[in-house]
Amino acid sequence: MDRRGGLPANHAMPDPIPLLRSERPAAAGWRAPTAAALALSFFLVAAAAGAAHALRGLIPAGSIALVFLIAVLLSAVRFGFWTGIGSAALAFLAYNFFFVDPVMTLRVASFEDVLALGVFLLVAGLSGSLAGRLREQATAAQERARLLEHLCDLSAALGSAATEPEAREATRQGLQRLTGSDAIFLDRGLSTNPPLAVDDMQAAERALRRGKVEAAAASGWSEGRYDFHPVIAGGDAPLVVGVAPGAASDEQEKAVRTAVEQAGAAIRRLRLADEADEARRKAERESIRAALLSSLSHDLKTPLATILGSVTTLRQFSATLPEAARTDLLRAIEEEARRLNIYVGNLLQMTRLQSGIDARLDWAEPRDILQGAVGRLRQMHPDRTMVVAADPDLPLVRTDAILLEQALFNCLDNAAAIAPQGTPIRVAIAMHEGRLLFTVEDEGPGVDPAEQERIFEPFQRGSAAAANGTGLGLAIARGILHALGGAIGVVSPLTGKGGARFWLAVPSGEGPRP
Amino acid sequence: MTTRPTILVIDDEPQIQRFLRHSLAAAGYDLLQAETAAAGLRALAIHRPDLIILDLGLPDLDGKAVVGQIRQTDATPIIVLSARDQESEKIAALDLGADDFVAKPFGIGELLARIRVCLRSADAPRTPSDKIALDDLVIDIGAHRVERAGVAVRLTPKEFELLVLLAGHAGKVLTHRHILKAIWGPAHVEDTPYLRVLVGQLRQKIEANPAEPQVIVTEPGVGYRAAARATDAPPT
Repeated sequence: MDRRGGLPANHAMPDPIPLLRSERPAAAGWRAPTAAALALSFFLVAAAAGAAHALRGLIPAGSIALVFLIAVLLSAVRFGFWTGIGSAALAFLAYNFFFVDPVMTLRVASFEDVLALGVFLLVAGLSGSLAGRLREQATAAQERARLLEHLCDLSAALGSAATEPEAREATRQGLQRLTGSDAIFLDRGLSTNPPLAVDDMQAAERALRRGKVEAAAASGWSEGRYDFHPVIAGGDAPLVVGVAPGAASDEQEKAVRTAVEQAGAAIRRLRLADEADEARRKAERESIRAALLSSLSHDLKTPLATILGSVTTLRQFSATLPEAARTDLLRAIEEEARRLNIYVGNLLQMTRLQSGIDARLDWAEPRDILQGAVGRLRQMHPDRTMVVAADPDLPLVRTDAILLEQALFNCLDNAAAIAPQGTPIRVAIAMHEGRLLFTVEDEGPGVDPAEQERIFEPFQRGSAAAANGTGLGLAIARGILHALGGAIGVVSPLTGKGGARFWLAVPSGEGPRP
Repeated sequence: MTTRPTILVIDDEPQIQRFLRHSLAAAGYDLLQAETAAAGLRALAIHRPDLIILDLGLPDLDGKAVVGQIRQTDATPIIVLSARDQESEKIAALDLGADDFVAKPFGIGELLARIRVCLRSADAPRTPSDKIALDDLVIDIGAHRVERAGVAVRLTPKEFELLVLLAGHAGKVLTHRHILKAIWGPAHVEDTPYLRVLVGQLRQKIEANPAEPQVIVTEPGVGYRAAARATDAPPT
């Protein structure tokens, strides 16, 4: 399979065709001088020779060499070490040829001239190389700063990425800035648009499979456009990123690796967060499902068991049952049938609310709504004391009176079920900050702060809730208030007295006052 | 007439307690009622009832734990009441030693039938030499023979063992685990496919219509129950 034989997959090895890579950004390390640099250096030395010729009579013969030194220094500073050395050699030849007797030959007549030429070569070489090194160090420092800046940018972009695709895109852009050419992410599907060359596909597949860097250039793929780096991203979806092969320098090579590592860490973090999220959502769904099942099972089966058990008892023992037992069984059947009816009604209403309802908005008198709900509660709980207070100066409101009355009734019913017998329930309406506000106060055990949001969820009973509640009343009330553009909540315990205050607020849509 | 048997009902639903009070009294039982596991265990220790009806959804202790606690010291028959979502708890309760179950909602006839079976088997433990009649079968345990309407039926040793086991507890449910352990041993309690195959074979030989079994009834997800009409065959 491995057509590369024993060659190490190290794409940091010296680039075999450096001159063709002149489009790469400048970087430190051994770098071949570009053709343009060589041409300009040659031109500089030639210009120096011309200038020296023109100045020949004006300056002492010994100073001619300094003119050439200027050219050597300039090209070294501009183009680096090797160009500097080359310029020095060229300047030496030109100086010897044009200005050292006998002129127009490379021969040297006198010993003094040999000495002078020797000194010139030394000085030109030294200054050329020193200036060149300085230049290259400056360039390398700049390059490092540039790479570092890109890495920092990438790191910041990855840190703020909220999803894996965002992190991938940030990485792709970061790698593009680092290498100057495009980068590409591949997962097991290997699908891209446009499709990859076959050689790239194979390299990517190997990188995915082995989890090692797969270099296109080093393995001699003719068509391969990318080196593939595995991204250690965790989870069970391995990922590779393809970057243009043949890094321009060790620094760039290291920067690419660092970028890929950063991307891996970021994607790993996002995947873990996703998994945790998914697990949490699943647990939530499960708990709602379990609550629904247990509620259905308990709230439907218990009345049914009572009805079925009572009816079969009445039939089987019709002859022997005492009259009192017969009456009690019949009453149990009636009560449980009513309870079932309420429960099924609640379930239906919940279903209607969840699938969206049309509120029929009309002008309504708030006190009618209050009286309606209070009247219904009095019918069901004749022994309960209720204290009703209504602001005398209330505007008509534009709302669905029937739905709002139901929501208020559910809150009252909840209070009646939870607060001990003999304690009053206070219900009031008032205008508050442009909204109509109903409040229902009881002197029951109150609602634990940790449960104040949860008790409005379907099938979630508070710890103090009555065992025979349906777990739906408050959820329905909230559904109704949402449909009416209002809000619902609970305050508990109330200062100084415990208990709970449920409040329902609807927009008043203020109309004519009665 | 002997004294009336006493039944302890442990259930937190007042409505269930309410109708059971009338129906069990009408059926000739004395009644003790408890709304929590703790009260139930106390009543059991003080009054020694003849049978316990236990709801699995008690507020203070889960049904399995109650059965486990009772069985540590006491062999009083237990019938558990369960709802649909308590399937696994019901099976666990049976495996822990509960005698039978009734699923809610139930007709009173069903509950009374279970009560009768439990009280009877608690009264009269069988000896292996008995002959048992089950539906139209007569099982001679000592002689390893089975006759159906007077005709000998050939059963393999395992089929015979299964039939004797079920007939010996006629009217009571036996869990898969219980049967597997009794016939194949404790290493095979999870091998329900063995049991399904064996029951299928046995039904082929003893049921009038194996597609609608009357003698060995399946309790879905729980186990099997032999028809309740088993009686001790008159000694020949």
